[in-house]
Amino acid sequence: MTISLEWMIPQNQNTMKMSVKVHPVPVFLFLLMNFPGLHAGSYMKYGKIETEDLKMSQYTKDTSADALILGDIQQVKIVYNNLEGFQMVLYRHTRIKIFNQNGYNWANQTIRFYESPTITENITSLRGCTYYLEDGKEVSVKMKNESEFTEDLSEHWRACRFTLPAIKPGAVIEYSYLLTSDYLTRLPDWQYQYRIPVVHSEMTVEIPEFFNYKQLSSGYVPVTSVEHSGGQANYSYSNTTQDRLGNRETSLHQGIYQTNIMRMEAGDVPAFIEEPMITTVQNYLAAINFELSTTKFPGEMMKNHTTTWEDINKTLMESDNFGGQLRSGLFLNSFAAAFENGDYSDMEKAQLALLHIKSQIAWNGSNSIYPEKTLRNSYTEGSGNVADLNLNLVVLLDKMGLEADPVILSTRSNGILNPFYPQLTKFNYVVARVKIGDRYCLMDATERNCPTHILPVRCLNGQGRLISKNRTDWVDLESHGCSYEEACLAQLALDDRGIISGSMQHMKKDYAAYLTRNTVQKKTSLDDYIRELESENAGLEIRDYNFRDLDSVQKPIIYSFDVEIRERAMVAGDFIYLNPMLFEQVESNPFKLKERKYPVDYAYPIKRSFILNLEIPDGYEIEEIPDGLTLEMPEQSATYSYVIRPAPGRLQLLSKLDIRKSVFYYDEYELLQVFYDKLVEKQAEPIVLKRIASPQGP
Amino acid sequence: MRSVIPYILLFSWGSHVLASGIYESQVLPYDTSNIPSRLLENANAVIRDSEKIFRLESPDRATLTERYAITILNRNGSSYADFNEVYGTFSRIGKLRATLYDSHGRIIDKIRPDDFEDYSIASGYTLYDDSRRIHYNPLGYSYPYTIEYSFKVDYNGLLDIPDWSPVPGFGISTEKSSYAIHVAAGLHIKYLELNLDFKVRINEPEGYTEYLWQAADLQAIEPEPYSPPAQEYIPMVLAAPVEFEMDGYAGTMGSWEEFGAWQAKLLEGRNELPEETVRKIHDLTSGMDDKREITREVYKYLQSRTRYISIQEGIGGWQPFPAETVDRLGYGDCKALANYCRSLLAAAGIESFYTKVRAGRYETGLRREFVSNQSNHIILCVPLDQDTIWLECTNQKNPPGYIGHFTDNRNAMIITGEGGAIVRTRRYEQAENCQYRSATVNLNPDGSGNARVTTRYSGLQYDNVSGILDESFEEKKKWLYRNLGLTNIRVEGFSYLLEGNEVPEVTESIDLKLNRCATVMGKRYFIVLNLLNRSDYIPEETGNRKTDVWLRFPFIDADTITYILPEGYRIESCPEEVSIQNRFGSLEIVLDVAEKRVTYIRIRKMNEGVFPPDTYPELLHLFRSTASADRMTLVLVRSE
Repeated sequence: MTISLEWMIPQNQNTMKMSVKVHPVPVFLFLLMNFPGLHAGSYMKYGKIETEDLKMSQYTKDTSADALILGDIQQVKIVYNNLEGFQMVLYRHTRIKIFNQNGYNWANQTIRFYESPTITENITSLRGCTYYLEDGKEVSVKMKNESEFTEDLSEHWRACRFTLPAIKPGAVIEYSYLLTSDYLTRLPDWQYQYRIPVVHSEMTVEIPEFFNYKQLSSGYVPVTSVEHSGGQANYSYSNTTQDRLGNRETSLHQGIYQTNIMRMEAGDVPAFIEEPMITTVQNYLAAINFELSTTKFPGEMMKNHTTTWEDINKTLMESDNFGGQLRSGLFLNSFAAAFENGDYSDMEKAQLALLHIKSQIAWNGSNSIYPEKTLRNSYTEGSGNVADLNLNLVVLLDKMGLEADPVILSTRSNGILNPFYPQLTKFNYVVARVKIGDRYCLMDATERNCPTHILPVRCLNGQGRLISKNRTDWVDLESHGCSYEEACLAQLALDDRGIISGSMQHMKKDYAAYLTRNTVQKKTSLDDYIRELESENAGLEIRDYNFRDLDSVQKPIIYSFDVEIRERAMVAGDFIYLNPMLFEQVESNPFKLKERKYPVDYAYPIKRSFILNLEIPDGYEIEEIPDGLTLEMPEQSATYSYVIRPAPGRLQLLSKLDIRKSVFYYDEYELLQVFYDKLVEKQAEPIVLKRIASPQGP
Repeated sequence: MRSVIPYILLFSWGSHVLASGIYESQVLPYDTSNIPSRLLENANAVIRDSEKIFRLESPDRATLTERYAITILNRNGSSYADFNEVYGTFSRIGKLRATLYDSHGRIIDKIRPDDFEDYSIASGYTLYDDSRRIHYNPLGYSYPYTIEYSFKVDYNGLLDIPDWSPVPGFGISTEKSSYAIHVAAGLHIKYLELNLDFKVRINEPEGYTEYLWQAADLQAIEPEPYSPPAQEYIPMVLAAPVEFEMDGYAGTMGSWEEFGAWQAKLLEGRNELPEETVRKIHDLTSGMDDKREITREVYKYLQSRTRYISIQEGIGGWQPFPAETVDRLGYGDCKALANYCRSLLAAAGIESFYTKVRAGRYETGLRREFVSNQSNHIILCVPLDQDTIWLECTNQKNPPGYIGHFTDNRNAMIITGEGGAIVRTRRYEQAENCQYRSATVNLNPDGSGNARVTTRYSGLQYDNVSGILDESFEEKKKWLYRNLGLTNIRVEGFSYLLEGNEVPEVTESIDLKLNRCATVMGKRYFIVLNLLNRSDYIPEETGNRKTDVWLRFPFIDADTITYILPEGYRIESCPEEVSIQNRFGSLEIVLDVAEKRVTYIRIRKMNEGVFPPDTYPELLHLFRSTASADRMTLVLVRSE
């Protein structure tokens, strides 16, 4: 038997099906096994609905549930088909209770499948039924063809959409189908947590002894039981030989092979409730994925698929579509040659290479670790996906004499990698790592406004994996000391009408600069950006402005305004009240909910400082000012200081927030909330000025 | 993919030679230096040359031939380079071509039809839609570049003639654009010219009539806050066939009556209900004789039995599923559900009309003066003796008779036995769209306090809370934490009560523990008086305003908040009362100060209407004054 690796065209959603196809070389014929014969439906039987389920008006364990998954059965089996080779067959049977109208969308279901010349997936035996009680009697309404549609999502992806009829509050729906696939690299995921609670979910996997899959769990809900057992299957195959005279002889072989059966259950799984500032729901939903690790067929050596990180490294380096691309790149020689004799530092070379790729190839918005085209084509055509850009960058850096390698990663919206379970399909992005002096630097060519030393926010997701000829290793994707940094220095004077005037200087660095450049670029002109700042900051009037280094992506942006600020100070009788934080005031706590189950993920550290030098009007004196404040989270993970100093005729304020780490875990949430409460409270405090009793006449 | 550049054209013809006629044959037409500078003002893209020809051959056959070239000046204009055309059962797109030119107008690329994507437009609530989109998005060309598209559409069934707008959006100017409609002898069209400063030219060559519009040298338009819908100010031509046919259903659009008669044909025989359902409706409504009450009951029955799912297939884009089908499946799109509801009402002896409307919060409704297919949604009109009830049949949660922003106050076409007629949907008056709030806040010396807040939302402001009424207790609580706009609070209890029908009213009561509702500093105590309804939004200032100012709907917000002052403090400074009024609305803030108590009353009214461009500063003034007044602070000081 041979196992061929085939590379598929990337799909929408940036997924790629890399198939392991198993073809018999001598005609190796297994008898098609019965399906779904395997421990069929011990938990629930299609068409037999419990009366209590129909009567249930709410789920006592979660009275807020709009719908409830009563049972979700998945049976996956790898079988032999004499025409197609080994195939995966999935039997899925799902039963859902719908409590109210908010739960109606659970009656609309979509099954995605894939069709290409090398991979065929089919959905068969789709059936569905709705049950409800009417005058105490059970009524059932079957789903008919009129409620089923198949649609082409893209060249290879299809969607089978169906909707169950006669949905009403209290109805129970169920459906089942078979999905056959010759894509064996990854078996269907078992997801057992949803946005509604699940009473019972189970997955049974039966796999011939020739295949070995490994599992990767995600989420925060444990599986309640796992059982292993063994099975047996008969096979028969015919072997045709031909002697020197051309006489053919066919012999029939029969035998038995073992299967490994695993059955997993999860019960009473709570609904997943989304909270703000999490990376992606997929990171938190409880699920198990299965990825092919090894195959071993009779009379053959064991073949590894993605067993270790070294294997992933080797697979990628040997593949035409990754390592092969890295070995191409003659077309880059002429650009690289220009730097051979010049007097360029490594840093300059790296920056020039990055700039060249950014200006030469536009990102088409797709993520993948594999290029869509050859590197030459993306370079000459001027567009490509992430891999087209960044592998071109790796090759160019290498040609310029720098040590450069790709680092593959999973973006924030694609989910976190589990370091203990190497799975190639989890990666969806690639960046370049280059050695500059004795430091390593990560670079990405997709964003014009992103400087050399930082990665776009989507990449900041734990660790990535270095792929190279010699070795592979983890690489920290953290922002390497780069943060969202902004500072404002204000030199202002207040007059006795409550009008403030003077100048404000802003500095934005790293992520702050990158995101500001993106915002400014979306405007027709700088004027528009200024008008927007004015309308966001009621009372601010910007008279004159000056921007420095707006177009020098590597540098911080510095800009200054001449301003007049009205309607911020309150003049009443002998008093003037003014909040000295002005537009820098954080008015409400971003963490409003009482508790939180998932981490707070800022992506990068944050530094914000505000320095104010304020002249107070003649004839007034400081009556009262806020006290200073220092706040610290444990291990200085976040600090805040507020210092205010009066001087004759003026005062100075320094407010400085420093959030030093980007992820706070749920047990730190309460402290973080208190931290912000105190900060918001302090920043609400005004200064009070009082008119000096007018001097008595001479 | 890149074609070889014709080197002979590589000589750089600077713009200085352009004026000279001798070189004209060699000047590249899409050289960006040819663009007059006034067309570059505020522009991210420029239409260089656009030519659109629509040939109407028979009531159900037509072709559209289109070719246009757009120069993309910078990345903000890049969306204008995208190709997006939708086709379906009654149309086919062919002869797709795209050519790219660099800034000198030299060809740099040719795009083959295979490079265009073709995908379904179905999404969200759509189970199936036979319409597909052809899309192309050029990438990787440095600015400025020019893209030229040409394509052809064949129609085999038709209700519409494409619109034409020589300036199709914001930030795009036009050098040259034309639209020709060729109408075969014996057929007729109608057209409506909007905001055009030129007129159609009509030619009559043999066998057909040509209607021709030609525009040149149009400057880019900038978006302005509070503008009316674009149709009110951008140049545009709407056109429609007089005689048309789709899937064997022929009709005419001479009048609303005629057009409605065509729609009525598609509804014929689609309102049969199973006997059992008829019986249920009789049971449900027996003993009732108030038509309004019957209508409400039937509507609630519809809501409990059906849900909205969009399925668009062939003539099914205009013809609803039969009522029997909806009865069996329990779902349908807006047409099917409205037709089903009409059948249910008929079973209860109530007459109602299938109503075609243009839905959307910022849509203005059908143009009465121009009979054509302008709707995108169906609702139901139930005429009563005194007034009319409107039913939105796709929503399972609306109180009976409430249609909201989605279809209120606009022209719609009802289909009666005689055909179509234009009527106006319900308008919600200022006095109906209210948010009335009253609260009592007990303040403690440490800056904390307790509050009991009661708010009544009515009319269109019902939608401020309609989305959470059906949510669970926990979700409602979270919503309150996120939306009250207060920091460091505890929601101790709350309730919602929904009343009313055509004008819904929700009463919300909340008990709050405010851990920090005042700022205490030294001997002073600061209270921002507007507890829950601060407005800090100020629209952008625009230089020389061109468009009218449009306020979409009128409303009243009234907040009455009584603060019981903390022990041991007296008032040091009390803010001034506010009274502003102009054509756009008003803000009144009144303070009633007693020894131990301050009552803050804020009444904000906003009007509706269309106002001339030069009134915009008055609107800004109103918003600015409101933002400033909403920071109004009461200062207390510790009594010595």
